[in-house]
Amino acid sequence: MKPNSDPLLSIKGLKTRFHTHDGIITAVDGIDFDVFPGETLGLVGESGCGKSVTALSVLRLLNPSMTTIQGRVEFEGKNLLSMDPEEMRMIRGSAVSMIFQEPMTSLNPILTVGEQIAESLRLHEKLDKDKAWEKAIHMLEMVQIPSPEMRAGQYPHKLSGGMRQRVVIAMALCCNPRLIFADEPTTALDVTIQAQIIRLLEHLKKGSNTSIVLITHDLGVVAQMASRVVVMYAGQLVEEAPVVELFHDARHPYTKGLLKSIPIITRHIKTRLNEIPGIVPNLLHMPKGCSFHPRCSQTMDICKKKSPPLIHFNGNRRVACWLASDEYEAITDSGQKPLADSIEPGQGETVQRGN
Amino acid sequence: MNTKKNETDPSEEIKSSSSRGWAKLKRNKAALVGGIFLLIYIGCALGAPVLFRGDPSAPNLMASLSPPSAKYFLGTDELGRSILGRILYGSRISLMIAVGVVGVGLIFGVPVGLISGYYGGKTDFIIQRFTDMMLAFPGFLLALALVAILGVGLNNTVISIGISMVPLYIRLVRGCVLIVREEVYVEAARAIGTKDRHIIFRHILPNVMAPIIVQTSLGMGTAILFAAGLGFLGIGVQPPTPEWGSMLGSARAYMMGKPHVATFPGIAIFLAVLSFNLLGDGLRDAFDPRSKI
Repeated sequence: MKPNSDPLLSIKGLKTRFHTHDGIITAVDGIDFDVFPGETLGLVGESGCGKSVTALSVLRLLNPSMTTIQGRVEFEGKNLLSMDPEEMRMIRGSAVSMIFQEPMTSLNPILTVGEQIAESLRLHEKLDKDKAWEKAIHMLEMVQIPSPEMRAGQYPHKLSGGMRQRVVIAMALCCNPRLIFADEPTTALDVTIQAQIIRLLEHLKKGSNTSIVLITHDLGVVAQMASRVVVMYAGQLVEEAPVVELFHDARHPYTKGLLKSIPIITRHIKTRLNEIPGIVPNLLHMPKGCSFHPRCSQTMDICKKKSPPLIHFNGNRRVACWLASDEYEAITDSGQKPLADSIEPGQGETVQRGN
Repeated sequence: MNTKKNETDPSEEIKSSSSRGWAKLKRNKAALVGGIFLLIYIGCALGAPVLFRGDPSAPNLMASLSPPSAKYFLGTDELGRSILGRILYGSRISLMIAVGVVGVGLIFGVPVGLISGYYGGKTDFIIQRFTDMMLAFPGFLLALALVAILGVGLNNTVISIGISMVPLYIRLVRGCVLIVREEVYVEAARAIGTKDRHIIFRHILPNVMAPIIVQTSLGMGTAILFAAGLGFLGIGVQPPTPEWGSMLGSARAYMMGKPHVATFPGIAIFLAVLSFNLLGDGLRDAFDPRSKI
C-alpha cells in the first residue's frame, strides 16, 4: 500500500564503503527504497547491518576522508549526495533531521538544554535570542516535559534518560522537518519509558505531515509505529513489505527468523527461545552468493553460488531470496519473463560480491 | 534569559564534573600552597609602588653591594639599588612576561589545534608536521634562536618564548579535540545543521578547556624560567629594567663575596615558578578525567 504521491526521499543504489586499515568495508551495499510523505518506515536489522550507516549516508554525516558513497539520494527531487556542503548543512535540521540512540551522550554536557534547542532555531529560523528561547520552552512543553521554563535552564545531567530523549526529540522537531531519521530512539531507555516515547512520537506525528524512518531492531516498536518495513541484512535490503503483511507473511528466511526470535510472554518457560544460528558475517569476508546462506535453514546450492535477485511481487513487496524466486515464478511468468524483469536495474550484477 | 537559567532546584543539584574538580583542588594542600604563593606574587606585582617607595632603577653608588640591613632589607646590588625594590618591580615584569607568553601561546595554539583536530585529513597532516618540526628543538633553544632573530627587549622576549610554546598548545588542543569530536553531541549538532565554526567554538572548545587551563598554569611557570634564562644570558629584558634573570646575570660577578645579590632574585624566581607548577599540578589532578580519586 504505497501511497500514491511522489516519494519524499528516494534512495537509489546507495553504496557506502569505509576505507579501513584492514581493507575496504562495504557497509551499505546497493540498497534502494522510497519514503513517502507522512509515512513511518521501519528500517530493521540486527546490529551492524548498515541501518544507521544508511541514515548517516543520507545526511552525509560520515567522515568524507574515510568513506565513499555512491548512488543517488533524492530528497524532494534533489540529489543530496551531489549537493554542495553548505546547501547540505542548511537541509540538516530544517528539512531532514535525526534523533540519536543515546540520550545520555547526544546532549552537550556544558550547554543548558534550552540553549541546545534554541541553537537550531536561531540557525534555521533566524529567530533572535529571546524568541528562540521562548520557542525552545514551547518545544519542551510539546514533548511533554513538566515545568519547561525551569528545565530549559538546566544542564543535561539534571535530566533523566527519558527526559533527555524528549529533549533530543524536541531538538529534532523544532524546525518542522519533513523527514526524521529516528536511530533506535527507544533502545537506551527503560521499557516503560520506551512506551512513553513511542506514544509521544506517534502523537507528534499526528499533528504534522512529517515522515519518519524508524531505525530499530525492536520489532515490537516497528509493529506499533511503522506502516512499511524494510529489512536489512549485511548491508543489503532483503525484504520490504507493509507492516501487517510482514508480520503475517514474511518471505525471507531471515525475516522469518527475526519474527520467531521475539520472546512471547505466554510461552512455556522451559522452551528455548528461537534464535538464528551463527553470527553476522564479517563485512571484510562476505560469504559468496547470498550473504545469509551460512545461517539459513533452507540453503540450496544456488544460494552458495549466486546472490539472489530482488523480486517484486504483490505490487508493493520485495524480497531477495532464491526461494521466493521459485515460489513466485508462476506469478512473474504470467506476464513477462521471470527474473529478467524482476531484477532491479543494475541490481542483478551488483549483488555479485564477496571476495 | 539569564534569570531563567538560575531557576534550578537545589535539591536536584548533582555536582557537575567541574564543581567536583574545584572541590578536589581545594583539598589538595600543595595546590593550595601554590595558590597562596601565587596570590602573594600577584599582590607584590600590583602593589610594588606601595610596598617600595622610590625608583628601583636609580643607582646610589655610595651604598653599592651593601648587605641586608634595616635600610636595605635585602641589601643592594653593585649600583647600590635596593634588591627588594628590584625584586618587587621585577615581579611585574615577570608576571607580564608570563601572561604575555601564555597569551601568545593561546592565541595561536588554540585555534590552530582546534582546526587541526576538527578537520583532520590533509590540514591536520600539514599542521602536525609543522609542530613536529618546532617540537624537535628544545623549547629554550627555539626561544634563544628567535631572540637572536628578533633582537632583545621585553616584547621580543615575550614573542620568542610565546612562539616556542605554540606547538605545545597545538598538540594539546588537537589531542583533546580528537576525543571530543567523536562525541555524539557533536554529531548531533552537525545533524541539525550547525556551522563548523559554531561547533568548534561552542561545542568543542568549552569541553577541552580543562587541559588548556592546566597547561596555562604550567606554561606560566616555564615562561618565567625561560625569561629569566634569557635575562641571565643578557639577551632578554635589558637593564636598567629590573628583571629577575638579568639581576642574577649581573650578580654573577659578586657571587663569592656578596652572595645575597644573587640569592634573593634566585629565590624569587624559584618561588614564582614553584607556585605556578604546584597550582598547575593540582589543577591537573583535579580535572584529569583519569584520576578518579
